[in-house]
Amino acid sequence: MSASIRRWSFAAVKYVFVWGFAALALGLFLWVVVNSFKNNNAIFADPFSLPAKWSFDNYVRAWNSANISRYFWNSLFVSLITVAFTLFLTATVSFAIARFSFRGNAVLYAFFALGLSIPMQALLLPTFLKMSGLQLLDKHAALILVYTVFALPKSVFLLVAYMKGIPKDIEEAGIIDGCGYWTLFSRVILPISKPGLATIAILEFIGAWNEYIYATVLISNKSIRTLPLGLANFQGEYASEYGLICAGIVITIVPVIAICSLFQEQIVKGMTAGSVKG
Amino acid sequence: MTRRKIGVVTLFSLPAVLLYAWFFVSPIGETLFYSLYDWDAISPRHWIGLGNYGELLTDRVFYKALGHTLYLTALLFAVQIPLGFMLAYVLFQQVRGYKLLRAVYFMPVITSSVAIALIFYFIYDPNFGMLNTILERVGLDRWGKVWLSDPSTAMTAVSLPLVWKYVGLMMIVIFAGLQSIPSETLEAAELDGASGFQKMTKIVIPMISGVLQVCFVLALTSAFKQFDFVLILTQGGPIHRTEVTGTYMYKMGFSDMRYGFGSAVAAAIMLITLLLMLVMRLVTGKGDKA
Repeated sequence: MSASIRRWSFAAVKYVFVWGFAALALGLFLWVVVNSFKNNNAIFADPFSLPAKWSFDNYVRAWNSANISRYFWNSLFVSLITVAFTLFLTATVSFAIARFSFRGNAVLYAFFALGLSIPMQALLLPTFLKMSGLQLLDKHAALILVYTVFALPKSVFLLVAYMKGIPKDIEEAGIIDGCGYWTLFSRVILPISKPGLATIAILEFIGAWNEYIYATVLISNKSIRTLPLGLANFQGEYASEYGLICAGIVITIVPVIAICSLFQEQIVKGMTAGSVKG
Repeated sequence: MTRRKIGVVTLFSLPAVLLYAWFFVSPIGETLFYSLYDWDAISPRHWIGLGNYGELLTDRVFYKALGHTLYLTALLFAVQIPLGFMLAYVLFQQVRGYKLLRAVYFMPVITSSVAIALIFYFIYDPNFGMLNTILERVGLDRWGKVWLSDPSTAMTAVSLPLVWKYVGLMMIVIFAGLQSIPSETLEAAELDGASGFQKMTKIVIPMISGVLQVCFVLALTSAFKQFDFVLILTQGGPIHRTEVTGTYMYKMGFSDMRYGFGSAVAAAIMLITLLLMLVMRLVTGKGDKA
């Protein structure tokens, strides 16, 4: 009897713990969503009430007059091009590392793995000076370059592991059929590596979409800003406009949440890769 | 290897290698190079050898910032990782709604730091913020504070967003580790009458020590990378009370235009991170020679 009560209360504590922590996160996000439909007076009167009238005003204002639409498309552009470059560069170099045995193989791999232990923020100053020297300040190209290059260590690590898992015979069959290396790469290895490439694409898209520090240093022109940069400046420009800021937050988060709910498995796989050996 | 193969390998690796060398590896060298100069990026560089490092060693603000970063690291170690572990451990025992819970824990992980910083700004706002409003409603007004500038709470307040954001990541990494434990091992322990606590301390934790080590490294690097939350919430103020190494480097470079000294701070950050990682490997690596 007492044992079953103990087991029961233990289970209850566990449920309260895991759902309580989830409720905290859900509550905060929900608070933002609810307040994005309220005007400022309503928020200041009671930050926890539901809106008397659900209004899209904040969204319309954020999207149009506060320029969020511009920042949104800028972010989309930068993130998509970053993903495209990252995939191309990662796929080619990983093919060389994973599918050929040559003397410099391990060195090349270590060269990229080196980047895994460097906190990228520490390279802010030389990167700024370099971009300034190349006349790339205030250009999306600067962000794309930085995001692509900083994505390489992790994505090469992921894709090399993936490509090494592809059986050798597939390649040999291809060679016997007389395909050249490019055909082998593009027709045989790449299609098989699709799941690995998808994981990299999703992780890098989210990374580029969310990045703030390099954007704030490399971009000062308003029309070039990405979403995080625009959103951060909201706080200065519309400091007391809670509703408007909430709408901006929702617009920033929704695409990422959508991607996450569609590709949860790939994201989990990508984020845990390398942490469990064997 | 044939010459044709060498050509193929070179062609395939060259684009990535060149860009990576140019924009990632060379900035590491440039950081060290610039750190030896007194330079405002406009007038000519002035070589001062290790002068910047000498100044850094006696710079009280830097020590303050380093102390804050270490405090942040300690918070991550003491709160984020244990919380991630407990969540993973409970979910591992087949809790209903696992997928939904995992998705919710993951929301902060994939949300932009700027959005999270702004949400915490809404929590902490002294007048209309959630925290003070709630305290007021339950009659605890006197506990209300100006959280982000009160010296007793500022640093913790600015650290919490980072602690909270990556609990989900820790949980997911540790969960993957738990899955790698052979189920026979746990079943055997149960048959032998091991208690839940014994199972956890004698089997689970030792068996996922490698994964836990990864978590500690992740937490350490995320503390030394920390930047966004501080920059948006407090800019390191009031009077350096929330200054961390990242914001200090940023200010030295971009506000004070001291690129040489800022580079020395950056070099110090890299060096300290690497040293601490090494120390952690020595401490936790005892026993397993992997």
